[in-house]
Amino acid sequence: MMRFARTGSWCAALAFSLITILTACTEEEPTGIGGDLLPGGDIETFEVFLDPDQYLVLDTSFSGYTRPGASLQVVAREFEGVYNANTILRFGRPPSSISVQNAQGSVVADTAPRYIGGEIIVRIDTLLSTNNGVAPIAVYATAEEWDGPSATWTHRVDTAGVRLAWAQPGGTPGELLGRGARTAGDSVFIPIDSATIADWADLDSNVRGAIIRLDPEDASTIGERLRFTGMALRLRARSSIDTDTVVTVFSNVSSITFVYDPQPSATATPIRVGGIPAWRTFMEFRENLKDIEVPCVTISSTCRVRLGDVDISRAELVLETAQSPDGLVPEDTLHVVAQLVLRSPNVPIERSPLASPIPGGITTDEIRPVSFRAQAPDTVFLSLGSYIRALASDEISEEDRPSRAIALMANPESGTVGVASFARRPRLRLILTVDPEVVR
Amino acid sequence: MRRTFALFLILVAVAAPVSAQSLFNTRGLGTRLDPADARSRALGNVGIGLLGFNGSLVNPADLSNIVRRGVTASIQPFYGSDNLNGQEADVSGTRFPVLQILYPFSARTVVSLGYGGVFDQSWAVQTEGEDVIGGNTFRFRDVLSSRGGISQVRLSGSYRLTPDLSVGVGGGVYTGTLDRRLRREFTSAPPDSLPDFTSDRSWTYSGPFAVVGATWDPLPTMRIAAAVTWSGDLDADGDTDDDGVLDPAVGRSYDLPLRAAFGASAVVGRRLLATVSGEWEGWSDGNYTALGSEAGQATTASSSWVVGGGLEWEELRTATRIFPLRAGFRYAKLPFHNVGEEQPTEWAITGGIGFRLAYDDFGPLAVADLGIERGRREGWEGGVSGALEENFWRFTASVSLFAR
Repeated sequence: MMRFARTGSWCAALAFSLITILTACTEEEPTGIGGDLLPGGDIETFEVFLDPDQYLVLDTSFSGYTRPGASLQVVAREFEGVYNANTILRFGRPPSSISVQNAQGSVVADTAPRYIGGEIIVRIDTLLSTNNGVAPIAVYATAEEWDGPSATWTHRVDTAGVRLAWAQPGGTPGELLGRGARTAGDSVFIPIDSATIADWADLDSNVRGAIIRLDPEDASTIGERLRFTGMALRLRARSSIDTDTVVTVFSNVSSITFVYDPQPSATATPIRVGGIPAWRTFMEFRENLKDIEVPCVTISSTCRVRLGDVDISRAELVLETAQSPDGLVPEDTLHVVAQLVLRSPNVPIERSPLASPIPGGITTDEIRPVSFRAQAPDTVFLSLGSYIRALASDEISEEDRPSRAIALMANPESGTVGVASFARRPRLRLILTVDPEVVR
Repeated sequence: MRRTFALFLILVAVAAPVSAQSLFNTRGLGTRLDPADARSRALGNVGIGLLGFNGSLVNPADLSNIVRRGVTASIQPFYGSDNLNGQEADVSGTRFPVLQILYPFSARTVVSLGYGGVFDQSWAVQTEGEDVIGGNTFRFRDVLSSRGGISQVRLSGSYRLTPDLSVGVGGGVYTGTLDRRLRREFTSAPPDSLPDFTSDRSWTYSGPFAVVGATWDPLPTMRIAAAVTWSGDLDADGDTDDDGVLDPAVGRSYDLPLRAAFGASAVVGRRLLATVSGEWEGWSDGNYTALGSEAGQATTASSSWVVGGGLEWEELRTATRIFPLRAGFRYAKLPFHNVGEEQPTEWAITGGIGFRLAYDDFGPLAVADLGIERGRREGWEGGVSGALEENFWRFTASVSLFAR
């Protein structure tokens, strides 16, 4: 049996040890001097640009991704000399009953109201419209049946199975329902008489509606473009129960679109995003991005380094803005965002589904409309750091690597009628950080 | 013995690497981390030839004094102030210079298993700056750090040939790791901020060594000892990048020197012991550039030596305990410097106190020692970086426990 010294001695010795250890184990900070002692310890951060041939195998723009819809409507007349647009909308049938108070003070349904008049209310986005003048608008009844989702400037129905042309491009106008113009406010009120309301109640829903145009009989509307933020049909109905009672009701807008001219082509070689219908640009990066060698001349004149061996501190597409087609300069600032494209061998890239947005994949600054005019081109940077890092990393297996295809889109998509255009085949700007000892 | 092992394991666990940050660690293989206990440090001794219990891991023949199974361990906090080209910064760190299990097999034969320091390579340096890249100004803070060092695992044995003469042999392996981290933190606010950059590399040391030594007591109050250590090549193998965390690290090999140590002590007065000792290392002319710093100037090694001596006075005592007071001095030439730089030196005034908490006629049962050194290192004049000076406090605390 082994015995140690007295317990008291043990405790004293251990206490001595622990106190010493605990006082010694303090957190340490690096010293602020000594960098001169360590040649070779300098980290290098430097910039390189990859030409499109080095990293890109495809970039093409396609149109048709969103249709004119409820989010915004436009009317234009020879805007920038070329662009025309009319808004076409369809109202619901006027309500067949209204609620009124009878002689006993109870609220009852009046199923035989008589519509005595009303007005179409058009709300104008004053910030994103031309403001050259009052830009009066004219509202016509639609003279032909039309299909909201597929109607175009030239065709009232343009589906896979049916293609029917307008008798008059831009929507065949029927009877002039009224005219109106902006005054002090941001809304235009076009009066509708009781006869028109009665006609609408009798019409088939495919015909019932209105065409809103910049007034073609007013020369001041040439060159104008108005963006609308909403439409409503407000009606006044006289009660059959209490003929002294007039009730204001709203008839819903059941379908709305705008048709425009000229029609954009379906594809384009420049990078295009945004617009209505929306453009998207698809890009596909080359395989084995990690094997691209780039110069690292800040380390030595002969230094070259694989992308897989360096830390990609920043990666950005360098987008050079280009002149948008006449009449289609974006009317508002926008961003460009990047989203992954899920490729499949049997699906063309333009029809491939989009996956999640690339984290941080957005232009660093808002792009102003003036950047898309010839006199003020600009350079913008689309951040792709996390994505390029994943594509070029040696530490990610091929199965875990993200798709090599991305789609560039405007953000918000369909937020502008105008199209953002950029020079084709952008360069890729990389800011790389490296331990010179590792690459030397 | 189970309790002895348990304590040893606890101490080994506690002895996880804690980085020291002397800037003298940046050259070559670092600074010496002598496997000497607090008593030796307090006496200016290199850990050899001391009358009485010596827990250092220098001369295997010194084990011949041990008559009881036991364990000894030391810890060494270090606080310094470095001056480089007029710029000053504080440095600190804690090291564990020696852990040892002692086991006498017979009256003549004692063995020990020890873990001790050889070189300390822990340091960390921070610099700040900015780069203008493509019109953007990126401010950054770089931290280059090195953690680790070279240790030894040693099996030693002593044999008492005569009551006055003992010999000892030992052998083992050098071990240890070096983790080098290069980190850049971009401190600019967005949009000129970038994600942090980190490069990690790691090496593992290995190499053999063997040591022979002897002690001779020409008088009952005097001891003379010497030991010679041979070392094979020290291999630093770059760790592989199995999990994608480490950057590739190129391995290399270092020539280690022949090391000769001597020491003597004698009772020179009533309860007064005096000691002198020294050690010499014959470094080769090879390249000793630190791992990961190959891009810089080549580091070479010059023969190095250390001498020291001191006095131990045992007058301070109670009825049951003795508290030896110690004082001494040591001076050393340190081996590593860049080509064109002067060899650095180190001196220290030493002192300390012992606590013989329990003992009997056969020797100590529980001993604690505290050594305090106030010293200065200076060197590397003539180089590109300028001379480095370091004033330091070094504390060494040791605890030794023995079975009856």
